[in-house]
Amino acid sequence: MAENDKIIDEVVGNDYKYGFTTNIEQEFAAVGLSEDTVRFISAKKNEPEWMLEWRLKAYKAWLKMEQPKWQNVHFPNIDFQSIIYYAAQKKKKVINSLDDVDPEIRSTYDKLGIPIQEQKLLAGVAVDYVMDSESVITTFRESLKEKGIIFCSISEAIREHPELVKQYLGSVVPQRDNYYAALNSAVFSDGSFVFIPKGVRCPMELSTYFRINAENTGQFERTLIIAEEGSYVSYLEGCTAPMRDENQLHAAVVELITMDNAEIKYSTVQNWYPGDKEGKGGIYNFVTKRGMCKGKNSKISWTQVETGSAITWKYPSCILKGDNSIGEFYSVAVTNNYQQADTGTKMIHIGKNTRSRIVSKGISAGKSQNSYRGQVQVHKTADNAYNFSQCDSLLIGDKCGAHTFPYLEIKNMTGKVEHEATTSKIGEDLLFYCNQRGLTNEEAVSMIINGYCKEVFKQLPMEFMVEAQKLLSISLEGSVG
Amino acid sequence: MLSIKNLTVAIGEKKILSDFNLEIKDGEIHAIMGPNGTGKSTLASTLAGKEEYEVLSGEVIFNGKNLLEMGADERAREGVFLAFQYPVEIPGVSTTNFMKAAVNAKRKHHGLDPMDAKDFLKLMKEKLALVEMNKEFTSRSINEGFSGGEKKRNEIFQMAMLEPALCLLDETDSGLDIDALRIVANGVNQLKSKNRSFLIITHYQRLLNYIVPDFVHVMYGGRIVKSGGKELALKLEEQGYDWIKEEVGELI
Amino acid sequence: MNLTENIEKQFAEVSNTNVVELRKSAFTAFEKLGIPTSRHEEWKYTNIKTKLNEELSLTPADSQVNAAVKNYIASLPPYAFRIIFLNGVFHQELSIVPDLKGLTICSLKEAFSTHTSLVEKHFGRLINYSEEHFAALNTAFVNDGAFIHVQKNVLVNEPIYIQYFFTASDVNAFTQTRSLAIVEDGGSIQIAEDFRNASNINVQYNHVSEVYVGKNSSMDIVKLQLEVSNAIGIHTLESQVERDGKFSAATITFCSPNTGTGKPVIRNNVTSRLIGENAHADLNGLYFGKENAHIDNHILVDHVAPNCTSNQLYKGVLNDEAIGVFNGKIFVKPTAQKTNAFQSSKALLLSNDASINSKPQLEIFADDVKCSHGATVGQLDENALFYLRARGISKPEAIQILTYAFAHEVIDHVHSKPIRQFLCDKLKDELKVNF
Repeated sequence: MAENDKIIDEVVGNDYKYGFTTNIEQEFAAVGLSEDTVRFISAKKNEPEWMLEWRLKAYKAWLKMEQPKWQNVHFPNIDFQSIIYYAAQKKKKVINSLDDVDPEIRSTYDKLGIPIQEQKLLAGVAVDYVMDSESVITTFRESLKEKGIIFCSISEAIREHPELVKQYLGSVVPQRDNYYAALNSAVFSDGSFVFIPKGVRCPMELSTYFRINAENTGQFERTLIIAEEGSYVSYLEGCTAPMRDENQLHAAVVELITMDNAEIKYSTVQNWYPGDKEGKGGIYNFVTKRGMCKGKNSKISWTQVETGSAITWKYPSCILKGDNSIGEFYSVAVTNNYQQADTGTKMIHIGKNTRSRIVSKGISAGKSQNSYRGQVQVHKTADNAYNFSQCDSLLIGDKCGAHTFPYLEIKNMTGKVEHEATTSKIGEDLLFYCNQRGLTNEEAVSMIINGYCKEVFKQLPMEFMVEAQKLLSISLEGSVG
Repeated sequence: MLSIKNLTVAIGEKKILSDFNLEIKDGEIHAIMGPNGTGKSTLASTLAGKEEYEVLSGEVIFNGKNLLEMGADERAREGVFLAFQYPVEIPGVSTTNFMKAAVNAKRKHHGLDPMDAKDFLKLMKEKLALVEMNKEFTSRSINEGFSGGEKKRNEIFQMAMLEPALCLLDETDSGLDIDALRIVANGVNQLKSKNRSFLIITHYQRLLNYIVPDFVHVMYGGRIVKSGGKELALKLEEQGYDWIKEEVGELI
Repeated sequence: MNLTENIEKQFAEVSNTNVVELRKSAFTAFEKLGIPTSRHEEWKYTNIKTKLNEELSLTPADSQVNAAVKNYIASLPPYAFRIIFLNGVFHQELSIVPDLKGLTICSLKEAFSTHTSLVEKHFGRLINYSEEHFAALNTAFVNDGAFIHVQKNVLVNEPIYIQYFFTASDVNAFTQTRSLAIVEDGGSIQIAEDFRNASNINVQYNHVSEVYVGKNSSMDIVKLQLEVSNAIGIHTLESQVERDGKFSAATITFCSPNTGTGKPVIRNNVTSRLIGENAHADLNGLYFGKENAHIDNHILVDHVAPNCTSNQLYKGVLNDEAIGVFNGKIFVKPTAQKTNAFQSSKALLLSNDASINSKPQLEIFADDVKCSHGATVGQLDENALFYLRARGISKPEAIQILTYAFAHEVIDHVHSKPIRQFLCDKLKDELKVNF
């Protein structure tokens, strides 16, 4: 905790002078952002000229933009000139055994039921297990390669598959899309690239690989997933284990593209450090995620479980361009203590017979503020478009807030849009009923919450569903009675 | 089984039970009747440990333990069961999952391992038959969209599952049609045993046609003002509560 | 000279003698706020700045009674109370104000001198002019208006009919009109405000109603915007409801402009603040848009006190190229525990060029509350249409009947019988149904 406070104070404090702690060997760019920083990053990564141009275009756009202020969140100004935009792969602090790991983190691992081996990986007790996992990774890679699936870092893709990156990078989230997307486009460090060829069904959850390979990809992550005609992939990012990071600002960009009859299922479990009980510290998570259902009958489905971060600002969206395409958004966002979340989705109906479904479950406890912000657009061309949205808020305690801001913009008479929202609380009567059946308050809350979120949880891959359920209980510990 | 001595209970400023006394021995069935607003439901909720009821004085001993020192969940795990007058709905939580959590909470309390899935399903099947419910009930969210009768049957089903020592039935018969009433009463009768006692709170004598009580008590003004056998309930049904009020009026 | 400079110059020339300080402060607020653009969240879908004329004249226009005014008055049902305003100025001769014990009805101008303390207590105090652009402008410039005061425990059984005519011949006129209605504890009243363009040009006006509902009293307001098709009308209705008070507002808008001749915009800001326990507000609305009509309803229920209830029911029917905007907000302050608030917004699109932007919003800061909203946009139920046609009713007629059924629910909620009947007839006329 104390260490985090220090780091965060350093990043946001007005008397910032010295930059990051110097006890970690690293190769980093000079503090602040300039054209030189962008050139430095591109050069460090041995990028081709076109990629540098692309980044510079984004940088120039960013210079002219202003930080958005419309979100229902409050935080001190971020000094973008006090951030280091490039640090080479950080050497992980070597820990000899799990006994050396912060007991608080360990107890969370245990509560989540994370296997010992993975715990070691997550905590950085890596040595021989990394060797193990490397071989596991190799096996994965082999079987993916056989099917023609490309799964690598975005840096590697820029070098190895420039034609694909050139064609699709920025095609869903353009460089100048918004302030943070522009920033990301200029300075993104690394991220993942997935290409599923025509007619291929990715044989595994890409989560498994990702999780073992969950190395520090930095604060400006970039993900690009392309599903060719008739292909399918399920991708899981994040991790239920608490993630601590010394970078306070995270501004990732994720782009998904589906061709005719293709489907991408993208699941996120986000548990970044939320700050302490007094609201100090914590990650600012400002993410742009967008999918384009480019082809007919294609489908993009976003599932997210958000429990971490001091501030979350994120709207995974779908542009439903192909006729009969489907967009889905399932979300659980939990805020406790002083956390603030402003999250939701955009469903943009352009093609005919496009359908979308939004299920958002917000849970606010402590002194937190939880907002749903969603937009459903039915364009003139979108005959017979249909959207259904269900946005529920659950309040625990009387110091928190829940907010719903849906925007419905309908320009086609054959479109049908239905929106429902409710706000309720975990009341004394409900708790007493559960107590009377022998359950403690904590057990009761955890059971009620899991029931409330069931519709979203069942969208997650099995093993994550179980962890996500436990994660929620831990996030809300001590919020009742 | 249960010994209540000089119990005085208030909500906020208002005294609801005053100097309430009652003894229930193992295997006995007691019925408490009385006009509305006389403290019957307060008694049930206080015994189950609802926090807004403040115990000002008195003691409640349950199987040798001081009940008032325990939280609501602990009392339940010790074997006190309340069939609610208004069972709550819990969206998204199936009766199966709810019962699994409750049964295992009780087992853990008594130092037992969680029940394995097969045994649990068997137990459920057996108890469902008791209240003439089919399996579909248990996969629906608890009480959500249930009719009044279904809710009450679900309460008796839960009672059967948890095998409590003391069963408190708070107006379980209110609003039930005759079929549901018969099913509920039948369930209760099958659960009767020499180690299990019942305290049945009711406004109507009707239920007592099906469940034969050992004792009938009349509550008025926060205490028991008259006790007797089954025949007392019949008299109340015929003559109403006015004569009790008059008798008590004389006493006070 | 730009719009704001123009307005500043005019304010310097205004010589209102009443509530001078308040007017100045409202004007200062307006200078800060200006005329909103679509960058302002509350005006996102209604870019009012581009709709209003560049030159705005805020000095009251002349008020000649013309034939249109006379004819319309002649067509009105025989209301017991009738108050007539021409371009915001009270017209004594055309008005009917019988004496009733405990009820005061007069012009705001008169009330400033005869009921000074009462007016000063409420005028400009109920609206939030520091945040609402047009309420600020109105407060700074308004010259006259309706004043209604109901004394303690006085029940007024007949509705009070207030008619606002716009007869300006100057296209730049931006007429400021106003009502102030106060019901003291235990009183009851029903009010209708009717807005009518009686000129042959496109008019622009800015109306503010301030309403105070005392303890255990009740007030119903019906706003009729039936003949404002060639107008830019901005309406602000702000009500404050005390303990056990009941407030109900229905806003009925029929906007079918003549194609090509204007840029009709009707904007309604309806706010109800429930400041005493167990207060209740019903905020309902019905809007019909045709041709290039633009109808914007912004509703806010502000739950301040505990145990209050509110209901919103808004229904819209949009045809041709009409644009509808619905923004309904339920705001529950931390103090407002045990709030029950519901909102329902339904819109029918009857043409492929019509559109609707809907933002049903919940902002909840208390935990023991029950709030919900539902918003739907769609067409008439195909099954119902088929059912009617299977009974031999033609498709256009079936559409009319079903639209009537859809819209009637809102009118059903109007308490005053003569006004409800009046609206029923208007609705039938509008939809050309006869049964």
